Amino acid sequence: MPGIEVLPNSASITAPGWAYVPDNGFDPSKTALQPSGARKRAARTTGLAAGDTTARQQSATLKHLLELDKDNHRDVQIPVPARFKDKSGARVKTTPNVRRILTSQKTFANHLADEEAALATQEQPALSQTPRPPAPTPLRNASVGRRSSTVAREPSAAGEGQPVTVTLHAPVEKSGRYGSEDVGGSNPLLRSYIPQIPSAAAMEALLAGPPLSYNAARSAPSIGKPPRHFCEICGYWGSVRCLKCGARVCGLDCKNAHDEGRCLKFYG
Amino acid sequence: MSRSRAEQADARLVSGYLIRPSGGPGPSNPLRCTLDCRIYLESMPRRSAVHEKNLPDRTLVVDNGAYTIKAGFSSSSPTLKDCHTIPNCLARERDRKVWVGSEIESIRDFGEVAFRRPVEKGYLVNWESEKAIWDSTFLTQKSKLHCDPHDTNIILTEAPNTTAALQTNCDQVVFEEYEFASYSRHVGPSLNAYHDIQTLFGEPPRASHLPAVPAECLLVIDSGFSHSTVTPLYKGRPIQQAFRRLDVGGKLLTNYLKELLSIRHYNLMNEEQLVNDAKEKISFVSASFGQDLERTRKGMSKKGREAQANEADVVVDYVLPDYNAGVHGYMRPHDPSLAAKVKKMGAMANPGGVVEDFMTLGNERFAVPELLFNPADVGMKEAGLPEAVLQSLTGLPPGLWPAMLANIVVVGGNCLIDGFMERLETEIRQLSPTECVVRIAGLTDPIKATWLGGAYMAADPAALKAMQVTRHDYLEYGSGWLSRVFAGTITR
Ligand SMILES: [Zn+2]
Ligand SMILES: [Zn+2]
Repeated sequence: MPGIEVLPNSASITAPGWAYVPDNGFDPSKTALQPSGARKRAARTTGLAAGDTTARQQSATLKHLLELDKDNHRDVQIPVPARFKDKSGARVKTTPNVRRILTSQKTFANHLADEEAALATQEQPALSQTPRPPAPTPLRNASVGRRSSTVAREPSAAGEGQPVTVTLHAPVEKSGRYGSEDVGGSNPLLRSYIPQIPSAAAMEALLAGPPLSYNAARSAPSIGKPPRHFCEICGYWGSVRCLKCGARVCGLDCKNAHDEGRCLKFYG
Repeated sequence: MSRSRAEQADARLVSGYLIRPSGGPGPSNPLRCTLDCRIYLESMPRRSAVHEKNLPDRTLVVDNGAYTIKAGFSSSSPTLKDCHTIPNCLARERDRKVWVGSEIESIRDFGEVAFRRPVEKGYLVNWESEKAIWDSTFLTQKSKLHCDPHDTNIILTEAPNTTAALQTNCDQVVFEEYEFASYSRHVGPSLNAYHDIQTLFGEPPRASHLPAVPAECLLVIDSGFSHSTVTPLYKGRPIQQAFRRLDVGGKLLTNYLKELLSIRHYNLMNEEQLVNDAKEKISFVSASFGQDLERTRKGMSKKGREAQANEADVVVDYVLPDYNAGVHGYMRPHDPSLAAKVKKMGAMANPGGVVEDFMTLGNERFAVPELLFNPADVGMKEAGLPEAVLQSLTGLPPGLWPAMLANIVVVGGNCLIDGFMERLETEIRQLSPTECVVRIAGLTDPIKATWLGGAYMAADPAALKAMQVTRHDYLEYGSGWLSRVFAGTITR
């Protein structure tokens, strides 16, 4: 069948080689949401999948995430009503700090950039730029490689987790810092040992740790969950990829709907 | 009692958690925090030079959320009724009239209403608009929360990992613009430590005559409008190095639903309020995503549907609101025959002769809140909330894990989504070391929970005094000093 490609399993896709389409300047924001509504911008994009790694799809995903973060779909400026503005002369005591704050047009992105710049220029990377504590390793994987008793998780088709048995065993690399010790050593008989309790001094040291930066506190990507792909029309598994635009659909019906209304070839 | 004895007592009590790590909740629950308040007070950082001047009697607790402000005055025995919810936004109607804060409740027709929110991504960024909302809430005579800041203490929340500049802005506005008598700024989720946490896990309630001592070990999950955060606390104090944040919150869910509905049904891209209402009414977190996806497959044969009829059908009809008639949107069981008619006629006249628009919804109901668990479904490169909890634990000494996992409290509006708590508990349990007991509790009102925790804290005059910084001290020592006090790097 021309124009589409059936993928073997929506949940086990590792991406390379399929349906690559050269970048032809596709701009998802130019795709109409509904063909009839002229001024409606597309709020969604093709390629919801994390496994779709072409540059075009990555930028489409980023744009999509920005859309999903908006307070309003349209760009609007809503002024503070005049009745809430200080009458001229009514308040003479406004301090310079307050005046600066009230007139600031900075967005959160501006503040974040300021923070990152300040961190970058700090000579000592010690404080708030402290590398996040041990690599974000989920506990269940932490002992892999050291403990043969850990059961690796088999990704199911739907990507849903299975219960696993794990050992609670020194999963934090820098154990010395908290005074926890590998009491059990490598003896599997002792693997259900009880981790050492932090001393009061260790707790104080922990509580005195400076805040992480905004970016450092972000949840790290999932480990071991295969990306899932959905039909952009109906939401069912997206096992078919459009060769023209990379969008995912579930089958012929939705592919037809996609071709009629949403495929980039109509707008590209 | 000397300081060192207090420390020994702490260590003993913490170790008490772990000697019987696999015991479930029961009458002699080893997870029970039995710390008495004398030990707590002794082990608190000393704040020597609290200004001698007494604080005013009145304390305003403000949980300044991105979607709503939760605010009210504390009392010796605060309740949820003392907390008022004020939309934290400006809203502009189609006719360009702008409403501020609680005025928004008088809007009848939310068609195409646009919003301006001072709190962006969870952080109070825009004080120009926030000041308008605060003025109308706290300085307007007719407001229930009207007060004279000169005679009022304020307890204010901020989101975890607020940038230093935004914190300073906030401090300066509170003291230099509003001139509150005293002030303390807290990482919002941390105030939940002042709830009677152990009763949530089936223990008898704390004695009412004792002040609210913060729970010893507590892991707070706060899933709100802007994001979802994980904040481990030790005696109410945040363990900053272990904070984690997932950038999925109620706003993103609403926007995602907006898109799906606009692709599949009506163009609702500018119907913020309508879609938010619909989300609250129709969403659920699936316990079995793959199965529910099969069950809602479009064009699935009637026979196949009947085969799964043992459970309530996932597919429903959602009737859109009619603002002119004052009718709210609502959900009802899916009626295939009605749907067929509508397909023919385009619209359906109900017996009263009023035109009724509805959408038949299937996987939209659970694919949207699924993003809290699988943000990668929209390509976000972050782990879902259960994994974020486990990431947070890696920032803690392993000795604290059992106590944290056994004392998880979940707050924020997304708790109200059907199935959310169950799925969260299931997945955290799956990811956790098998030796650890996992206990997760919600609070009566997850939206006002942080406020109530703050009100409990404020109810104890000694705790309040230890926490608050007076305007007098601010004017004397300045803004930089204040931020170091709140960061805990200097004591008073
Ligand atoms: Zn489909
Ligand atoms: Zn296409």
